[in-house]
Amino acid sequence: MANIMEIENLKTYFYTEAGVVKALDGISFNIEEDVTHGLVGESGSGKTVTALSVLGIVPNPGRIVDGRVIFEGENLLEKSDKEMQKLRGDKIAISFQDPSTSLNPVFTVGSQIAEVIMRHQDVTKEEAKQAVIEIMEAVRIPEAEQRYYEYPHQFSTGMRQRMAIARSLSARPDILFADEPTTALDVTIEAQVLNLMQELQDKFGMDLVMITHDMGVIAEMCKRVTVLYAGRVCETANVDSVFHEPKHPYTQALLTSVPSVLGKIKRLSVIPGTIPDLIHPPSGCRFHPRCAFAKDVCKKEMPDAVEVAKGHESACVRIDEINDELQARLKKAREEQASD
Amino acid sequence: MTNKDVILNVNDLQKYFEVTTKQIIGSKKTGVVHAVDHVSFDVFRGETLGLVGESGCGKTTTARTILGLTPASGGEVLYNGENLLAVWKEGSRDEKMKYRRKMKLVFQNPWTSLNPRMPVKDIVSEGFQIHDIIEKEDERDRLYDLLGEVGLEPYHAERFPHQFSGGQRQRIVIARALSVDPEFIFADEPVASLDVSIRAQILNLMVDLQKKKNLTYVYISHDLASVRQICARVVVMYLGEVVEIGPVKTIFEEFQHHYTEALMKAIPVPDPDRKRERIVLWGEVPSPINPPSGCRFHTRCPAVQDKCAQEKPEFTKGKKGHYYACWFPVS
Repeated sequence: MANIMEIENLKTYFYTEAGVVKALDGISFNIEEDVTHGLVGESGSGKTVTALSVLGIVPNPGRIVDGRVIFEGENLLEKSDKEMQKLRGDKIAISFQDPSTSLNPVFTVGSQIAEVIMRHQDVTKEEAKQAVIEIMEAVRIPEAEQRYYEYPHQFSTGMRQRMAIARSLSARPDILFADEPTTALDVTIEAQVLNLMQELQDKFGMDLVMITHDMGVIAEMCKRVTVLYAGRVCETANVDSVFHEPKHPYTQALLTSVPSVLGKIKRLSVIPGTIPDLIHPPSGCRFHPRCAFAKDVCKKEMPDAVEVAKGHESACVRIDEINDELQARLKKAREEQASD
Repeated sequence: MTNKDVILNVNDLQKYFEVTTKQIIGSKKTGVVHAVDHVSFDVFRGETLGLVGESGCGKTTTARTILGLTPASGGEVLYNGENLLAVWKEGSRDEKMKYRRKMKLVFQNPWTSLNPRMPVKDIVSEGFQIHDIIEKEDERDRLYDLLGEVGLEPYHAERFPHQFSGGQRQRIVIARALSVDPEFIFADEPVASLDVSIRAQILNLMVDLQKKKNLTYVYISHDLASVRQICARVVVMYLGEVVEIGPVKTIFEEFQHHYTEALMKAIPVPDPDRKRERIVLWGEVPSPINPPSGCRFHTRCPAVQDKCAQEKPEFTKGKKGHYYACWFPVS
């Protein structure tokens, strides 16, 4: 299948007073056309920075130091600010994690969306307003015409999140990065937003990249997934393979350490330690200090993700040796759950 | 209910907040928030009871009212048969101290619930010093024991909260709660603000401590997966009221209330083979100032009928220990 975007060896560092934070340290993966792609990882794994880097909006003191982002045959990282401004919103859009801070409190919600449309399309104010009302109705805002003139604080959290999504879709982008669109929401509101995103995807035909730490959201929404840890890719594969046969100890640990609504696991397996400090990241594989399978070889070289099965890339150098044990552990946890 | 040992009996608990609007002179009462409205449940000794529901449904307010952190508007709370609300209202300092030692609260956010200017040793020791439960010369041993129990090292005692990660801070919060040998712990979203790989550590720690010290937990959360993992029984709340209560497996698999069904079917399941029909509740949670008549859920319920808006449903008894308040249950 054709790739809509190819990310190669992307490195984004933050030059802080305490030292250089290697937020992204050479990540590569492709986003296929018409395939909802998931980016999963814990906080600090580089999910959001990936999206910000692609869009060229990495905040100070961050800088993209290396890599290529190929979109429509061109490297986005070589484009000027002006060219990127044209692309952003129009071709590539992002909806931010926290709608209560990403919507401007002193402008009406309607005008904030109209601004995006007027920026990218040659329309009058009145036409823009009509387009906004249409999109507000698409995200199921009741009384859209009247709500157009209201301010963000007059909306509930769920509505605000829907408006933030509406804004990022208003110029009909080809690809949308949705950064933790449901993280701060209650489950019932989360279901609303997820449903809506699928609806809109069908309606507008855009490609979706879901950024989340929730394996449940990945399982429900995505076809392909990239697992990130501490600024590196652990594995990229189809969602089915990642859930049934993960090829990286971190993914396996993540799957068995998170409680599930499907049943009780006798004892949650624990990933010891904490997320590493990215100013002084561990040598070799970033996960080795917390990995149950780590050997000396893991400390030496920083492994890149390579294809270990068809369509399945993994960055674990010992995957062939440990694969059986990895799958056995996952199977055991799943059986406990099923027998609960 | 059964003749298991009931440690806490909450009966018809109410907590209302008055809403006032400022006038030119003074202020005027304009409404009442029905935060906790006639809530009843029992907690058995040594069990973990889950309290679930969406934000704003009154989970935390229920806990705070039981603990006397905010005065109740009505109802009765019996702790080992003792009238707790009367103690909070007019008990002597000694009486209040007695119950404050028995019941502790673990807060949601370890970034705001630890005083940034106190070293860990003071944070953890304060409890047993105030309650004066050990000799001065044993305090240091006691502190190190507590730190060890929650998986921290003695050298952590001299450090300040900002020097710890989120998981470690939550361990400090738990050590502080344990410092006075409580019997009963309210854990208010103890893992919500932690990273996913750290949550398992804290949940396992809570389970271990419960076994070791025969603690009773009320676990407040909207994260249903963790509720399934650690709770024995679950209370589901909606807009200040209990709608369903029962053993954890029953609530997750044989729910009868349509709100519980909506909650259960809204959760994204981490299994790509189980694509299920998501039940989406459109509309917003109604305001607790003017809650809907009859069954409070009727405005969003997919199975609503005329009766639901008119009459408040009584609790129906299902299987063992399972109660639900719905006129037209799921099955």
